[in-house]
Amino acid sequence: MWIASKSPKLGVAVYNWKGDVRSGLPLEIGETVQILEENGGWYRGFSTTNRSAWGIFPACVVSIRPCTVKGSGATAIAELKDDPLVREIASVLRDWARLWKKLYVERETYRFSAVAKVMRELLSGRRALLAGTLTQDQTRALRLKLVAKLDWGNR
Amino acid sequence: MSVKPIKMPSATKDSTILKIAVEMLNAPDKVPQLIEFDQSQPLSSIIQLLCKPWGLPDPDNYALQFSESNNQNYITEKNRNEIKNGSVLRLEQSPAKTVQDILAKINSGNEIDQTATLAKLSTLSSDLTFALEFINKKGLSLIIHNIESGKFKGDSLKFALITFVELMDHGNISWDILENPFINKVASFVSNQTNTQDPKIIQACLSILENIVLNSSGKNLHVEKEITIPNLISHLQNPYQDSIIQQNAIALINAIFSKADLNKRRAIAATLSSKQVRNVIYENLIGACEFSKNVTKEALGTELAHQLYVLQTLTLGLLEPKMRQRADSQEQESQEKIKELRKIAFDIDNNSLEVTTRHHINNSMKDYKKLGFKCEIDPIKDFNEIPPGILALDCMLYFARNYSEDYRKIVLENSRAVEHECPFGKTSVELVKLLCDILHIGEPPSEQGQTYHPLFFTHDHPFEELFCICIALLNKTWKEMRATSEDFMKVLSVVREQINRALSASPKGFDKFRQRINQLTYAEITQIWQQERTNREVWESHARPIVELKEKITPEIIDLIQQQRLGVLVGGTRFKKYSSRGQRIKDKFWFVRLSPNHKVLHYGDCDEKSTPSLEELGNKLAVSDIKCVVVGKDCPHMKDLRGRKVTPHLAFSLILKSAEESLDFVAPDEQIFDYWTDGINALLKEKMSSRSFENDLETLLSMDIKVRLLDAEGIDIPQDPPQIPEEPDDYDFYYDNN
Repeated sequence: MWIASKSPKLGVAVYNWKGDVRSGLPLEIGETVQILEENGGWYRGFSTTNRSAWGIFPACVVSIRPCTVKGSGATAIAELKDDPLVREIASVLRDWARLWKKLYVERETYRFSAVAKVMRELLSGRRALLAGTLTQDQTRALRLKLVAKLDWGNR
Repeated sequence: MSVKPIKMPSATKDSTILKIAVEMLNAPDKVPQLIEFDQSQPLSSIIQLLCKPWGLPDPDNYALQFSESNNQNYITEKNRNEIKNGSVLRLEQSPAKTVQDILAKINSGNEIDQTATLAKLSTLSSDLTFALEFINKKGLSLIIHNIESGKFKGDSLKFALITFVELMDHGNISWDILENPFINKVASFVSNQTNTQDPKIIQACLSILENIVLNSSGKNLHVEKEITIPNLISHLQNPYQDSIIQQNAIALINAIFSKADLNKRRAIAATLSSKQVRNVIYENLIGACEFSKNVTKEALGTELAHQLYVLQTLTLGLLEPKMRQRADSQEQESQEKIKELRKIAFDIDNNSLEVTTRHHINNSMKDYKKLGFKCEIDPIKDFNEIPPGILALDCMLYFARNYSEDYRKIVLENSRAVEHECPFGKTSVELVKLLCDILHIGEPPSEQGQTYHPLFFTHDHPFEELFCICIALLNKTWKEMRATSEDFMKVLSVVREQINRALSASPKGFDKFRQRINQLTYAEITQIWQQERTNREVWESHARPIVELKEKITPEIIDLIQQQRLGVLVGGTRFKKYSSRGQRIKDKFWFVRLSPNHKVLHYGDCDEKSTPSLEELGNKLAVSDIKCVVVGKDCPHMKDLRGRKVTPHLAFSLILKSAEESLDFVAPDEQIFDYWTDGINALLKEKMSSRSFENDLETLLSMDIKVRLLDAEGIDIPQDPPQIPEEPDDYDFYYDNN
């Protein structure tokens, strides 16, 4: 029986799934899904990139991540409970990735490689923040550096 | 050899029929028989059928046996399913008959007969069927009696003891049946150092005593009385360097240790950690282990390693009571220890320690703050957490007493009340807790454990020594990390990694350990972690779901590259002019560009600097007229290269469909060469294949994947595809959307 999740959850796909069942929601690894209903080994929800396409998927292809929820029921919005800077970097990187491909096609060679370099720095800095192995001093320094990179890119 | 098959009464030709051979040992006149063995027939009737052609009168006196080198057990109704097609079996005297003969020979035979019989008995006893029969006929009691009374000597004694071990090994007989005189006798073989005994006798006796200690109810006390630890230790130095004796001796020590009460354990531990005994263990076992490289010794090595692990675990286990004891404010002993810590650190004399005026209380609070306690008013409260309890206090005091200089230095360096100090008291308590966890103190030895640390066999106070090295390390790492009190847990996680890594190299002594761990700086550990992350990434980039995702995105990326290449062609390129035989025409250039609708190539002469527009280029070539693009030496203008400086690798030609015509190029550099050949291939709907194409694909694809996996950072990708569950029972969703 399908029951509503006590509170909506967020999960990240850890495998690709074709969605080959009735009402299936195909998933790609790395895709974030919001889960609203559960039934045994199955979840029902939508990908955070397209909130209007609901579907079901096996619980075993996603890994649940801590999240914060605004609102309730079918219209609730769940967000990953990551550090704000970590989330900011993720969202910036997604935007930049689109622009970066445009720079490639337009043969803006210099800016293309400059942006790629900063993106890689942001990726590894973000990873270091998430790994949690840095001291407070190092974390503070890294944050400043990453914020400066973000500012550079957004100019 | 004429073999006469016996027709077995078989109803059906199914899998219950096996084709096997049966032979008889030491009976040259009995020709081996090939038979069809029917698993549905009782064994007795099969034996009856076998006896007939061999003319054996009493089939009840015979039984079948396996004849593999590792299995010569009697075949019974229970194990007959182990017989395979093609097996060779033996017809032998039945267990009952054999037992009868053996008992008769032991009771009345001469000494040579007796020894031969016991030798046979010792091998037969490992077969459960035989053992049960022998025990039933009071054979075990006879063996016990004859060992106890001293009737067996020399080889007879050896085989009798082996028989005893084998019979008991089946686990059917309780160890409680043994009486003190027997135990005394067995113990005497172990303690008697004057006689040169057969090593096998000592092996067996040690093993028997170990079993009595572990498995009897109460007899362990008697064994403890009869056997001394120094005596067992002396067996480690046995003249044969017999590793089974060594292993059994350690196993017996472990058995006595684990069954003893706490006081006795302390006494045993004190004996074991005395320098003399320690050296014997270290030199004969640990040192020897390191040198033995041949296979059989290594196989024995695992059991020995296990026994050393058990010994180490039991010895360290003695720290458990302290680890679980909270310090009590009323308790004088701990109070005194804390005062001593203060005294050693600040060189205070006893008088000022005792005075309790307000001024002095203030002073002591200042000192306790400098010592880095959490609770400056009553530092004893710092030892309320268990683990590590008062074990932490003892370690600190050990450090202060034995390494006073280092102790004072650490306390002073960290008592300036600046942000980056590493409080001695607080960190010591956490470090002891960490060490207890790493060394599994308080956990019973596991069945499989084999990890022992040689350095624990090199010191009377190995745990305390380890603490002294690690507290200095913690301080060093704290500074390397420029840590503040908020980073306490992070420093500890680095220190845990440092200790684990240094221990895993099995250093032979504390000096080696100190050396190793000082090399493992914070920078080194970060690098190792970084490397682990990189390895993980490399693994992940080959993980199935990632490869699938890459394959899925690749067409989109190729499309991007194609757009970029066509953009290059539309923008146009200025080429140097070459003759049709590949000769550079001095100072001449031409320009080529693709029309924006990608249908026509426009080209014409130009000078060194100009970029002509489409209209300015007089010549046209329709893309649809191009047959293919060729490169390098395949180009018409590169056919004859003799004596010319041109390098053909930058040359490419467009071969036209009509006639033998071509448009020949030499690119100014590799990138333009790659872009143009890719672009032309794209126009012709051929695959792009240049090196730049491969590079661009990799760059774009890997960034794309990284960005797609942002939310999956730190999550493990499963090795194997997840098991997709059965489809849900119903589709009556809770919410009505879609």
